[in-house]
Amino acid sequence: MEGRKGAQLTPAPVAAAAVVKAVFGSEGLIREIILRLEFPTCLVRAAAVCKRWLRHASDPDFLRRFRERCPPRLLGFYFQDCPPAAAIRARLRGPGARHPHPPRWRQHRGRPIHRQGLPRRPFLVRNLNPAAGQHAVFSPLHPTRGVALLPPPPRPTFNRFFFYKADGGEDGVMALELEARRGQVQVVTLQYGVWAFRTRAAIQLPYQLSATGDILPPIHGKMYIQNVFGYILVLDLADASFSAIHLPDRVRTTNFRLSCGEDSGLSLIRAEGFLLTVWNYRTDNNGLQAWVLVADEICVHEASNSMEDVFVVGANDDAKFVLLGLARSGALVSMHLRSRIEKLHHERFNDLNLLFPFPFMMTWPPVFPALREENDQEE
Amino acid sequence: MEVDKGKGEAEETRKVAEADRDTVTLKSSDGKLFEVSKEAAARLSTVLAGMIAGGSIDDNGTDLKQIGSEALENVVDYCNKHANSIPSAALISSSISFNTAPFKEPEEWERKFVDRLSHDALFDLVEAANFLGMERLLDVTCHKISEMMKGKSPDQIREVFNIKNDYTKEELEEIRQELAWAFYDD
Repeated sequence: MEGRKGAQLTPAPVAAAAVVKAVFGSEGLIREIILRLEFPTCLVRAAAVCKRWLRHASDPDFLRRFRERCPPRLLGFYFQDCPPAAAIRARLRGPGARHPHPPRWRQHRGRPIHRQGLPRRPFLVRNLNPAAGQHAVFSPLHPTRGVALLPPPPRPTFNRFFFYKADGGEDGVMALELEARRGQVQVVTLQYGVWAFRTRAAIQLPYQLSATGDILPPIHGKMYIQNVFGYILVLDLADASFSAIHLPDRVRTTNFRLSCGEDSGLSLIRAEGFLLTVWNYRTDNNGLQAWVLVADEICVHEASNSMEDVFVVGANDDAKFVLLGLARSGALVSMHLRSRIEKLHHERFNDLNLLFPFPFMMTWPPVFPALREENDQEE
Repeated sequence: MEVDKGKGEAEETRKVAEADRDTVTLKSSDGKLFEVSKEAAARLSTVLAGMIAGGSIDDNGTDLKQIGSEALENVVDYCNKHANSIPSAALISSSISFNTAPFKEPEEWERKFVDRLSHDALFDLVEAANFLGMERLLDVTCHKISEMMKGKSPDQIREVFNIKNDYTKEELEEIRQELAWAFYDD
């Protein structure tokens, strides 16, 4: 017994085929094992081991159980360190596959172009040739798929790009020009390879805009612009009109971020001290559109432990994840709002207020390619 | 080591056994006898609990033909260790009612328990735990095997577990393309 123990310190790298076969051959056991992989990335890698594992991994019942055990995770996030600047850095975190080592960061140059709905894949727009205004869209997660070139927009000041759902339900690309001082917004959409103006004249707003405000990608034909104090501007793309939503009474600072999802609607996440409050803009009990309090006094433990204030610096598009900055240490914390699970990231930032990170989720469920079943009858 | 208590002494203890004795004797496929606390066996294994409740326990050693002596020794060892660690386990599960934890991680001693096993012993133990309906032991052993897969590439997983690749080159390439986010670090 004692002798055997010593030998086990360095287990044989290759297990005896028969024993492994018995366990992996059992449908129930292999499921129990890959169910405990914890990371969607690890599950996908396991599915690429052999066809039988792929069949288990792609079974809807199995995926549901996997999800129940493992809360959704961030795949990474982009951040821009200074939105109005011409060249914007965006970094992308790898999915942490080399467990348990911390994931590496990769740097991609480009401006995030947000895309609503599923699958939530990040895209970047890169200005290939500033003189010609030549932009390209690419996805850092699909480096092999290449880039899509966009024709130069009508003016170089059309420098914010978004995906939107066109009438036929297809992905369209639009570019936005925001003249902060004059309070003007102009929108062009890409149609048959040509930029077309949505409206003849720019939309004139009665407010001066702040140049650094966040603009959410269009959803159900509306865009939310968070850069007028005390209001959120709603741009209706269909008739090129705008309206304003008052912020909730309790929101008195700019320490909040908006999030808007196809199903979840508009949400607002605010921080005060180390506490978070979440509102959702929806029809209240009186049948009016209003801010409904969703969660209050969510404690950010990473901040309360070190007696720091938090900044809300980003949220994903269904307000499931928020990214928070710690005021003193400059650390970045992400939190899954429902489970309140926090994760402290290793990066430090100088000015979190100028940071516009955009968290993105793992694509879930993973969509595996269909196997050709006729090759597959050996078992 | 105290594990040995299950072996030779079994014959003696059996003679003085009364109807209300607090251990049960288990017999491996190769005829070796092991003794384990009745309470622990009933609590940790649904199959043994059923046998004890149904009176189908044999005082001369209940035959477990599907389980070899090495695996059964580990099962008994686990039951004994588990019985000894009850205070801390009970404390943890009753005093904290967070439902934020997605599932219960193996405890320190459980980790050590599976870490010392060879690949073969580990896989044998998974089967034994499955056969005996030992939910917690199955959880801990499956967790250990999944740990061995984490962070590895499909090639490395195949190598470690000696699994045949039945994909064509094109099929694998398709998976890597479609789910590139999972292979980002490669």
